[in-house]
Amino acid sequence: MNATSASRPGSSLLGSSWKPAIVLLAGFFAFFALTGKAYQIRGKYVTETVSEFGQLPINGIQAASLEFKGVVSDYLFFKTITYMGLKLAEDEKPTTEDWDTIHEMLVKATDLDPRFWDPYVFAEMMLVWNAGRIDEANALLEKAIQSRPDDYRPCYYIGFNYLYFEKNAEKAAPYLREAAKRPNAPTYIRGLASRVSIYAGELGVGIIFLEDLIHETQNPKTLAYFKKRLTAMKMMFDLEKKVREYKEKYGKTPESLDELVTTGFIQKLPTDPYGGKFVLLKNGHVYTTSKLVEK
Amino acid sequence: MNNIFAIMRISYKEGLRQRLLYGVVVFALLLMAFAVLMSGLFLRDISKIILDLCLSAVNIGGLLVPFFLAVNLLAKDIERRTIFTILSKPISRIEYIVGKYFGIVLLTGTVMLVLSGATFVSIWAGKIMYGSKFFSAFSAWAVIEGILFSFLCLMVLNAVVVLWCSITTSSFIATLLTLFTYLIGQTIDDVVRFLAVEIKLSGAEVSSSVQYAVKIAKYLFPNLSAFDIKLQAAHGILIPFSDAAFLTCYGVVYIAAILSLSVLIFGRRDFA
Repeated sequence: MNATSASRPGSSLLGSSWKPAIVLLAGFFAFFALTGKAYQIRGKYVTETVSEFGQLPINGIQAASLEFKGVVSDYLFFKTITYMGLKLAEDEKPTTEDWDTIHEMLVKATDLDPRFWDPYVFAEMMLVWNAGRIDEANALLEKAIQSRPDDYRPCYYIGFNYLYFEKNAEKAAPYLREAAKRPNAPTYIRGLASRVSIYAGELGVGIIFLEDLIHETQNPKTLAYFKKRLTAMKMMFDLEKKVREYKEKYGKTPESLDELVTTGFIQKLPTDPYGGKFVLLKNGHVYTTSKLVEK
Repeated sequence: MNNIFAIMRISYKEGLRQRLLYGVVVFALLLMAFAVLMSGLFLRDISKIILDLCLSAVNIGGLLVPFFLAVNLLAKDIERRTIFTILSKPISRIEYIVGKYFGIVLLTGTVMLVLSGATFVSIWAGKIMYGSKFFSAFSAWAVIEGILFSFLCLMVLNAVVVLWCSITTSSFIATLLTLFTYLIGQTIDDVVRFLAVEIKLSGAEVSSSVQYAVKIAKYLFPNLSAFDIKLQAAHGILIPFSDAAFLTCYGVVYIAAILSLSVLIFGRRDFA
């Protein structure tokens, strides 16, 4: 104590403090150098779990989150989207277990806050459009119908899932009618509800639905994801239109899509952004070998 | 009455002297930045995410007062024996307790007010960053209601702190007891409901002693989770007026009871 205070007046700017300064500088550089490594090490293990906390039974989570259920619900959902994002970024196809985990997390997030809309949208986006788990998503959306009585979208989504993916007009009709009754429902839903059987499985319905989703999405990554899908679906929709024009002109459906090119209906076949190949089915519908799923 | 105000002012000032507000303002700034940036990572319920984070922060900020400051303000008076100087003045013990209580409540209110300001700034910043279409569910009245009930919850907890501090001489034990009261108050509701379902499903497999213990706890501890309407507030839903009125009465009655008990105990206490 005495030594330092005695040396202070005579010392220059660096004076006796140069030793700690060097240690500080060295420490800073060492930390800087090691930071990358720390992230790398963490990166090795981070892919393995969604969240340890999310593995607890729902009663435990509810009790442990005290009066912060909203934030915990946000946290669980955030962990779910980052987990999914990691899988997509690594071009890994989620396994059955992955989808099980994602579904479980979405159920828990909505148990904590049943009005939280994002998990339902995510279920519709991912579980339905990517994993084809329509029943699970519909069960989740049923919860949203109860907890969001002023919202037409949960009914619309379930109706759409039945109509577009299951081609089941009978099951879709009551949901679409209910959606049309709820406040702020777009008028085209009433149109869908009144003529469900015509629209079952039609690409056009899927395109309207996707445009709706895109219109409301803020997250750039998800947005890009949907736009890619919309592009592919619009290509298929245009091809189907050309096929109908061909049929009107020649009185029969073409043998293959290449025939549209040779007869001059289109310049060349569009390339599927998912890397698949467009194929013409016997019923005049266009199909892609990629099934609109990332390879 | 004047004495109560004097004690209240002194404890309030003493609380502020702990550089409380600096910490709170820094916390509020960090919160705003975090909430606004974090919410952008979600899909649509952006206003809900911002409000979840901010309302929780308002609550946590408020909780810091009963857990850390209040115990200091109360128990330290006894530990450091400054209480002798105060009580040798013409101030009754009732006035001392009530004044201290309202001083702490005022401190809690100040902290929550600053953080509530930050909440509204975050919403405003979020609207600019992400567009107002993601904020259609936002309702300022619902947010204010949510914050007021958080405040009521903390008023109850502050009363409990006063009680524990008038019973024990150790500030550590008082903090511990406050923490337990908070945890019990937040979970007792779930436990009661869980037991009811369990009994309904499995007959009477739950032992009767557990049932009695829960029943006693139900009428002894405040149901703090009842004041938690942050989720509704975040979704822009106002709770019905009658519910709000009953909840307010429940809180006020409990505070009155706890403070009276504290006065009774504190009045009989021997400080020698």
